Amino acid sequence: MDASFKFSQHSLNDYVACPRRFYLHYVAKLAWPVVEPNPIGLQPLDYQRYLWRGTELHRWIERYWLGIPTPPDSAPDEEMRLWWDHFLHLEFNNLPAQRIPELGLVAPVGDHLLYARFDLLACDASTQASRAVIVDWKTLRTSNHLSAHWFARRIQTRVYLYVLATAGAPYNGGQPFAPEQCSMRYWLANYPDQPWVDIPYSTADYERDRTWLLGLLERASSGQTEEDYARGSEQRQCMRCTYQTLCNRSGGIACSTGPDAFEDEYFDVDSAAEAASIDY
Amino acid sequence: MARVYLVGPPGAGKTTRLIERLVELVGANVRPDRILVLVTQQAQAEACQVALTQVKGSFRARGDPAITTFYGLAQRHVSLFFPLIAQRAGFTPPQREPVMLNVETAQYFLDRLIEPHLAGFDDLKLSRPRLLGQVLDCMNKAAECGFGLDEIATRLSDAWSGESQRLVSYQRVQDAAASFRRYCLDHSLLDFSLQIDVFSRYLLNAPTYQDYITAHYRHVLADNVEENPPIMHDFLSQVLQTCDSCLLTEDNPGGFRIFLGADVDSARRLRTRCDEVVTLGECHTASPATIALGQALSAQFEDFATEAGQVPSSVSTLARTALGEQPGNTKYWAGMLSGVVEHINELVRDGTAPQDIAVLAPYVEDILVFEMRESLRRTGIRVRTVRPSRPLYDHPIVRMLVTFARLGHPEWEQRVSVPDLARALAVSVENLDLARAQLIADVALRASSRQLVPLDNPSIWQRVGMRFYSPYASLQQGLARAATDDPLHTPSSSAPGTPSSRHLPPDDPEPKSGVPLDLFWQQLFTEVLSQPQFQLDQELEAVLVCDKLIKSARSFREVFERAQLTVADWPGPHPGASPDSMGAIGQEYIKTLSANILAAQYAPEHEPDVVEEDAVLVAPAYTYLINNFRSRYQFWLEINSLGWYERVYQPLTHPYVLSRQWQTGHKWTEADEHRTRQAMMSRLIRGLTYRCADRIFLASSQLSISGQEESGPLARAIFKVVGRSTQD
Ligand code: SF4
Repeated sequence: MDASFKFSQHSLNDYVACPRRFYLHYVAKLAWPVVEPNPIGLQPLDYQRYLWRGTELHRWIERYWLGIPTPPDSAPDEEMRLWWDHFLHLEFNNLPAQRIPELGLVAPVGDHLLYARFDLLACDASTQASRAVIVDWKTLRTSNHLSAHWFARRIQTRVYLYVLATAGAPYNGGQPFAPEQCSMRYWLANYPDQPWVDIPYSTADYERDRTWLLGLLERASSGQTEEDYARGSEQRQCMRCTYQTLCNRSGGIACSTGPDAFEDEYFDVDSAAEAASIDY
Repeated sequence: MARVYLVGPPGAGKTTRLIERLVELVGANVRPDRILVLVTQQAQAEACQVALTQVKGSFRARGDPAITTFYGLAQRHVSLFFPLIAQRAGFTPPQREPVMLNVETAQYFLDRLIEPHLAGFDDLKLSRPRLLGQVLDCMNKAAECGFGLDEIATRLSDAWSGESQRLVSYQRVQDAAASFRRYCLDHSLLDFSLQIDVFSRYLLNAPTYQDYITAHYRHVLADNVEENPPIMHDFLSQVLQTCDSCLLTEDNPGGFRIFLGADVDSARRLRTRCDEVVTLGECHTASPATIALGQALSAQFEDFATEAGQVPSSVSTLARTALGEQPGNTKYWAGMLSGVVEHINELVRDGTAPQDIAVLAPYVEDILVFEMRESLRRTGIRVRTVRPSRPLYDHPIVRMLVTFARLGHPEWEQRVSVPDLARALAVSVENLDLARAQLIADVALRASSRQLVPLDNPSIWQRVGMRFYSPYASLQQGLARAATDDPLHTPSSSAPGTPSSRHLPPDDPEPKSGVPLDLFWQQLFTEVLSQPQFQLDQELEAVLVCDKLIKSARSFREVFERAQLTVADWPGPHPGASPDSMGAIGQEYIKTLSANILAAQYAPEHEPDVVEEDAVLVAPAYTYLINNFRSRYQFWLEINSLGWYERVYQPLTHPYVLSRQWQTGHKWTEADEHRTRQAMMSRLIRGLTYRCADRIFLASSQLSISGQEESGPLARAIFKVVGRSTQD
């Protein structure tokens, strides 16, 4: 594997789901132009539009933090209008004062690098009790699994909080944030009655994540050939995989995932934006 | 470090210093969002990223500074700050989101608008893609230099001293540019020129934006400023007023992107904005002999009026040692090529890695690439090419997909010929040769020339082989399915997670008619072409081409969707169908593609078409320089050719007249042409020799590939330098 490869929540999600998928996507960089599978049951065209709306929403929110007004009647459709309306009614007073939208950070994990791009970092390095909150805008369409416990187990949460605690020093006067100073907040655009889910962080969480990430990144980067990246064992992963026709299989042998793997089974609209996060 | 301007030849270590500075900033815990790194091409961005990943120790925990090209930055910022500037820039209505056009879609819209006026350009005998490319080039140059579209005709006309018909053409170019610009403003479409124009006229002087760049870009690093246009230098001038530190680098000789708007003189004005100008004199990547050869040869073009490059014999002698044994001076082009191939084989046999060898020519035609590939393949040596983007339609895989699209859309009424279908079948079906494919195509198209029909008569399959019945049937059924309005099969339709109905409106209250062409192709790929019995699943390069075409069709369609174009908005003559119909958009795409218009004729940046490590590089000389390649051995082909010296024929645009350095009202004279060609030739030679570590092989034939006898200035200069030293 390329020594300069930066892991991200997306590549790790792929690896956990199926090492072969990770290999095809990130090592072999194989284009496979099938109809994009999507986990929320939309028609392909609607799915593309849904992704696009998510990208637009992120841009509007970035504008909001930069003080650039988005004209009220520019929403291309009803869903976008709804999301935007929900966003404008949010209360941000309880977030630290300094707001930095679209921030990328890279943290080492052993000899490997881990990348995260925050939709927003709210931090307050000037006060005694400084804290840093990662805010992530989510347009999830699911009525299940909205508990803090579920969000805390997501690979994204583990990666983001680890990266902030490890590489956040430039935003804290040169000192790393202690894990206890870090937290993550998900905003759920489709759920105005329950808009926030907050995830705290601790030194114990940090240590656990470091060990887990180190093992995962070691395994993911140790393969020499295609054969070293085995097929995943879960049938449902193949059903939502781009490479399904390539692997020529419609399912797999059902078995449980390992104890240190985290499920990330619901669609995340940030994927498109973050996957292309290195802006050349 | 304050503001430093670093200048020197290629290989002197400027980029290394820039990367060291970046690492230093990151190591000093500077906030990553306070650092801006501007590069000229993606390869440089990757080098910076790699350098950052290789940093050891505590520096490794770090941010992710913006490493981007100037064009990438401008596009992102125009998009982000659009509500601030849309009204002032003349977008109507201003509240719509901007839709960025790529080269392909810009060419499409311009083509539609220019169509009624095409006859006016007949006398120039330009192909349509070249005509479109030159109109867009004029618009791009106007934006990059900061003058209005209404100055294009005046500038070109004032400089012109030939027949008066050309003045009419210039005016037509300006009119076409103006009508394209109006169309873009009315539909919030931004081609490259409008992005740059809006950036320079409205964004750069908007107080909110000025505050933004002041706050964000405290430390600025910019590599190869001489390869960028004046608007980039304007941006840097502004940032330099408020930043804490900067490091700018200039390659000398440089300015090879002049045809894309690079302006060396404009870049050099940035020196006055810096506290210090540091000159690095020594090139570490070329040998003293190749440098001497470059100096001796380039001197032949530098002082043409006087002593015509007197070469001291010591320099000549050293220069001569940079030359490898000449790979034959034969009568025919083919003989020259076999000499080159023989030399390459020898070098590789003696232990040279293929990637250390570059074969350079003024132009790289398909035949050259083909011959090199075939000849070197015999000894197991691979070849890679880097050329400006090729028309998509040239590729057999693209033609195959277009043929199947036509057969999948009988309502388009586009007939498919037997050779087209035969080639498509031969390209896609495993082990099917062209002769058998021809038989199948013949029978199939006799039954219907607009769609594929079932062929159940066993006689045809007995002739061509029963094993081809099944792939044909899959293809026939797949085409019928992929084009239907029925919901497309979604592989994950049974996946967990269903949309919540609590707060969500329907996705598309008024679905557009027909299946989009990109999805049609994706469906065909999913259900047919990637399946066993078809050979795409075994040829990854073919899959890449498929992917590229599908992406191109998708971005074409998305422009219509995102700009919400309706029947009334269709540009130019009405095509007879509604643009909000997916079928009509697909049909337009196919028409434009097969007219070779969907090809990046003008691209400020382009990517190599094939990347193969461990392969001999074959590239046009300017492409080699623009991509900043280096090699141990260079082969210069066809040194007799005038192509080394001449500018590409561009009757409707002009890299010097449409630049900020040109004084409007002056005539472009023979002397100007001579002076600029001499200067470019001198820079070209020095640019190449500075990038060669060991030896240069000069290859020539008496007759060019087209059978012409040529004796260009490069060959004469070489004779003068090397010939004289031989006599010495
Ligand atoms: S189809 Fe299944 S086995 Fe193949 S890459 Fe995808 S998830 Fe892995």
